[in-house]
Amino acid sequence: MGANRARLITIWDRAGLAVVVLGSWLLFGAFADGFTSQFNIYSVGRLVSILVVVGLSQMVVLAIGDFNLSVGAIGGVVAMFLGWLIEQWGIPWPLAIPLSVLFGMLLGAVNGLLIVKSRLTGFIVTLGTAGVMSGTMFILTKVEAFRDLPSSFLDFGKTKYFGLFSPLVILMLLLVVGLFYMYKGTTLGRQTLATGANRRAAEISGISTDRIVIISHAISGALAGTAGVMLVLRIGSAIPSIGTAGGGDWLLPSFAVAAIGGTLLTGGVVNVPGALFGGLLLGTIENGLTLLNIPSFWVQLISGLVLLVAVVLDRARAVTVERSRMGVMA
Amino acid sequence: MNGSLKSALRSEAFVLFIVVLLGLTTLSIFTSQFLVVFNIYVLLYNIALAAIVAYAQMVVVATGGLNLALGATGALSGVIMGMLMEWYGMPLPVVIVAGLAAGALMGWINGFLTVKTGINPFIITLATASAYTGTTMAITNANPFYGIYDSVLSWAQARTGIFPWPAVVTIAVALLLGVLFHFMTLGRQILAVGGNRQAAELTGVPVGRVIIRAHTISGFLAAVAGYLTMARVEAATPTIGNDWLLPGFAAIIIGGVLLEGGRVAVVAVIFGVTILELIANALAINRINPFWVTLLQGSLLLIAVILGQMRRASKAVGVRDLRGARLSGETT
Repeated sequence: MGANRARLITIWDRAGLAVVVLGSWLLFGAFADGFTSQFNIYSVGRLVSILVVVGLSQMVVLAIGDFNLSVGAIGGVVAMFLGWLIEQWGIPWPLAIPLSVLFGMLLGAVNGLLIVKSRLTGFIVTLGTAGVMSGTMFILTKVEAFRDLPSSFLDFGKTKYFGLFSPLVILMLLLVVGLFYMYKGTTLGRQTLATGANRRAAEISGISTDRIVIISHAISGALAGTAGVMLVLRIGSAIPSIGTAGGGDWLLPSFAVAAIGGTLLTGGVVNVPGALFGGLLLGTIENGLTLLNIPSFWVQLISGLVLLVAVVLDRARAVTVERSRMGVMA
Repeated sequence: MNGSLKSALRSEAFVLFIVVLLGLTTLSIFTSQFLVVFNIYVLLYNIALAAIVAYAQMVVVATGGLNLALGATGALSGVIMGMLMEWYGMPLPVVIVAGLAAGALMGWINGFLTVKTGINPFIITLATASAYTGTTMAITNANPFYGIYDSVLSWAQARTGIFPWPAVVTIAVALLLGVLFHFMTLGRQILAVGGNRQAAELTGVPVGRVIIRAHTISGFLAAVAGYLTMARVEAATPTIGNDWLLPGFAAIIIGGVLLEGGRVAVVAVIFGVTILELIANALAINRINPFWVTLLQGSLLLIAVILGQMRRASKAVGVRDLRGARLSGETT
């Protein structure tokens, strides 16, 4: 029975999600007017790219069995930081973007450092730092947006390759490939997964788990920051509510994208291409429902249900991976 | 006797009480608008409301879990009550019972899913929060219900001097929680599950049932807070509870509740809430940007957890110090 079930889950891992995504495309293609139009494919691509990167920012801390509640706060702070660098300091945007991402990485590293030093869970530390980060940003910016971004920046955000693809898609794919390589092909990636699977064992075998925790949170911050930058490119201005509106707009999608993609919430197992499909699924649903004139709250309701289904499947998978740790906060 | 007095003076609740006194004194001296009857009334009202939110989180945290859906539960319960009043004109008792039952049901669903799937309550309540908020938006179309009965509004505004009468609800909730955790089997079982789940299971505690009941109480209290908010802002708005997460956790952590479960502090949490509300009040009367509140709440939460961690490292703390000031020496 166990082997059968394991095989079933392996098949689901490989193909199930792709089938669901294809199914959703067929469904919306048939019923939603304009779903297959060139412009819609272009805008779904931009939407999905940001969702995927938000999901990846959560995935890299899930890899070590931790949470990051501040992904939205970091995204918002970095978006405003980018606008500030460009407008206030006149820094050319091709330089301002990497600086902003670096700033996100720094914020993430602070999270990691606090977690390591306090020996607390990421949940409570990032709940606190999220409040501090977005509070500080709201105070400093006086909740005013940066709207006068240079036209070359705006044009770049609106670039279309072959009339279909945004540069955001390419950036997202590069990140997916990079992270995939990191977990499969580098010592850092293997050490990260070992830390997530069993921290004590990893420590005993000579891995500096504290270092891994800090690095993972720094990467998470860099990715959340990247998503913030991407959102500024997409909407053409840096507004303070990016990522944080309603107490964490990005929180649900970040977990949903990672969990749908097959990343274990208990740590030790990531699925980078899975996150791509997770983002595709959520983005397609959101776009399709909008085209069908279905009010946006249904998107929220459905996202919640999709996350529930995904974690139940995740649970089944976790059981077969035979790592039945308690489902309580570690 | 002397020893228990000493440990009482060193206890969490007492230290927090001193902090509150210091804050009150400072504010009274430096801010002329602070020690005014109306301002103290507003302060007490805010404390009463925030305390229920904190308690709603505390009950689940005591089991070693947490409830991210607290705000969403408060909003949906409030909106259901608003709907029953505006659309159906139901009698008030029916409205209240239905709203509170809805909250309890939402909590029960959280607990049931957590127990049956064995999945981290963080994820479960993240997902249900989204579903509850979606339902709230579906009912309201993002528009508040304004048809709140006059009796509700006048009840919410009732006050004697500085005392807001709705605070009676908070006092009742605090007393009931005190009874629950001191004298009732369920309370002891909640702490046992949070303290050491495996040991609790081995000694015959029905762990699953206990967790589900804790979530149900949490949902019920969220609905109570939803009702109070609705009565206060004179509308059932879908945004009720949007900002309950951070202050709720900050208050209970400051109050000395352990995140890993097994310990509650009914009295100390009130002081934790009071500290947060004093800060918010001081900012408000000095017309300081309200976003400082978020920043300070986050900072206080971090400071409180780090202090707690340091204290725990320096002494092996007894886990079940739930009696706040008076009896802590005895239980440790």
